[in-house]
Amino acid sequence: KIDVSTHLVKMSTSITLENTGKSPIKSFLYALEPSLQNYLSIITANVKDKDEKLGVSQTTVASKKDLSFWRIELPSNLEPGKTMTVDVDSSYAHALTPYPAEITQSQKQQVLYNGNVYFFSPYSTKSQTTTVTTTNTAIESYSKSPKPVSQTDRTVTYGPYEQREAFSEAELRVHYENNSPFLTVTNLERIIEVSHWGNIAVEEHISMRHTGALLKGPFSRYDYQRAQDGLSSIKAFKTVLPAAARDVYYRDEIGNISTSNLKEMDDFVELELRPRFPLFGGWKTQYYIGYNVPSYQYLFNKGDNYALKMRFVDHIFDDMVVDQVTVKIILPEGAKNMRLETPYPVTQGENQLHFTYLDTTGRPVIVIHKSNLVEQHIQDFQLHYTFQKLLLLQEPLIVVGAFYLLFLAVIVYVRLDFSITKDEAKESKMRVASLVEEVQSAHDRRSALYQSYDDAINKYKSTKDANTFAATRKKVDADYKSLTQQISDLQTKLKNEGSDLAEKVNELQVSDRQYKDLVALAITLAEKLVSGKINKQQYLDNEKINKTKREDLDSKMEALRSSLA
Amino acid sequence: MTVEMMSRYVSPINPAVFPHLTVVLLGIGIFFMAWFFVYEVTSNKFTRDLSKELLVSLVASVFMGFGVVFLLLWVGIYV
Repeated sequence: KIDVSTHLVKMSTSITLENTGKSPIKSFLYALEPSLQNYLSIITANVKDKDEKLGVSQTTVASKKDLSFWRIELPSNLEPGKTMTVDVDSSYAHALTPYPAEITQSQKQQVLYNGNVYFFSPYSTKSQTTTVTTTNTAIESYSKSPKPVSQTDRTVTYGPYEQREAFSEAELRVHYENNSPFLTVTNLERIIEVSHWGNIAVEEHISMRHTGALLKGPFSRYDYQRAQDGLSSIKAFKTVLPAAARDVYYRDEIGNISTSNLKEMDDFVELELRPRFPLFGGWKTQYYIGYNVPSYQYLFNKGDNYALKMRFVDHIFDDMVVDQVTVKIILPEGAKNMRLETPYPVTQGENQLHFTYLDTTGRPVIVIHKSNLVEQHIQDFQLHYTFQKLLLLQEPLIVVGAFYLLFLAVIVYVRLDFSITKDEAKESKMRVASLVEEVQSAHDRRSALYQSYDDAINKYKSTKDANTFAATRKKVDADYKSLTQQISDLQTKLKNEGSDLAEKVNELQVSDRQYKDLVALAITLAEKLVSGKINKQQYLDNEKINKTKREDLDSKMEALRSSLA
Repeated sequence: MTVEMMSRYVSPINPAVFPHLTVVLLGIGIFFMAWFFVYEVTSNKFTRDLSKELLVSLVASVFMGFGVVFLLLWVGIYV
């Protein structure tokens, strides 16, 4: 069965093998027609009604060097006298010739298919039938021999023929109208960037061309829109993206292309793309699309071993043909021991380095080339590599280092002094300012001590425990003494600087001493109360006077402290 | 080692918390950075303390660094 309804020639041959020899057969040879052998894109085989694909590999036969042979492995040995039916599917790209080669905008596109009526096989064929299926519209002409030939609406049937020998040929020529999109992707660059933070970014750079009949004459946009001509031109096509694809963009050199539609279905994401202009014969366009997929869909790991399992090429449009593809896989920095497994032979190029955000030594890039692909080439490849998990930390640490360098620069900058002479007044002012700051902080700590005095007194009043009180008091006294000494030293330093603030500090010290005396008085009162020397009422009266005096002193000291600044 | 023996790879940090982590880390980082700069501006050569400067700037740079990385990841630049 030859299907030429699209721009591809899809041949599906159902072969019933019979073992007429004496020993079991493990494989058989399949020969390609000489007229088509240069256009072969893919060949697959399976036993009839079974899904499992059989092993297919290219071989050569010594006596027929200019023919193309493929060896197909049978799943089980074919015993003598037994038969087996195998389906062989093959696709050929660019095998249809536009005839006429140039058409105007209003003409219909017609193509020519040149093939073989008989089954071109290294073995003799007992019985065969060939059907050619074309598009829905009329068939212009078809070769009418060898008989019997019959034609229905869109199919031409040749046969059945009996008893043909091996390598028998007869011209099959069908000239028919084919307005299906003759779109070829001349160059596809697929860039897969793997990030271990949980994302895989895919970007495809696509150059495509209309490989049908060339446009002859002018292109009239008016006619195109009014009269609906240019039947073979390509207005839009649908691309199927993986189901988890997000953040899809469709751009070209100029910028974003807004004529697109994204539909999220259950199993996939359908992106309908309409290029900036319709494509007529010989016209080309370039664009790139990109999307993100989560890494858990395609990345697997065990310890330090990782494996990326993704499609080698993805769907671009139905019945697609890709002349040249380059797949680049960018792995995180520090990935080593890369090993690639592909479902079909590919050419691996030199590993490159890619530099992007927060990179030091560069990210390793695996480069793979292949030519002549069709839809059946959408299969998974596997890339194994090792990566130490700790290297992931390198990225934030680079940013931390950068910030720290910035701060170190600031620290160095504030210490730079380019003044030629020493400005004594300014220096002295700075020294005074620093001393004042120290005085203030010492005083604050001293004031905090008063709170501990009060707490101790209250505790003593409630527990009447003289020993603990004595111990606490001793401790607080010691702290108080050291702080007061500190402030006196600072006062002397201030006097040396010749500052009038020394007087203020003196006043502060005086008020503080008075405050301390009042605190001592309060302690004595409390002791007297506890031992019962005075009664409650007396204590309360004295306590009240003490408190008011202390509050006055406190506000005075606060005012002095603020005025120092 | 075949793929069948491996389990799916998940990111060490759940992408759903990128926004929260960014805000928290950058917030703390900016606080420490502000403290550092105010300290630098308000001190003179007698009151400056090198160990305090280095410590505050180290903490600030750690939080800012991680905050910036998560900011990049949140925005979609998967570094």
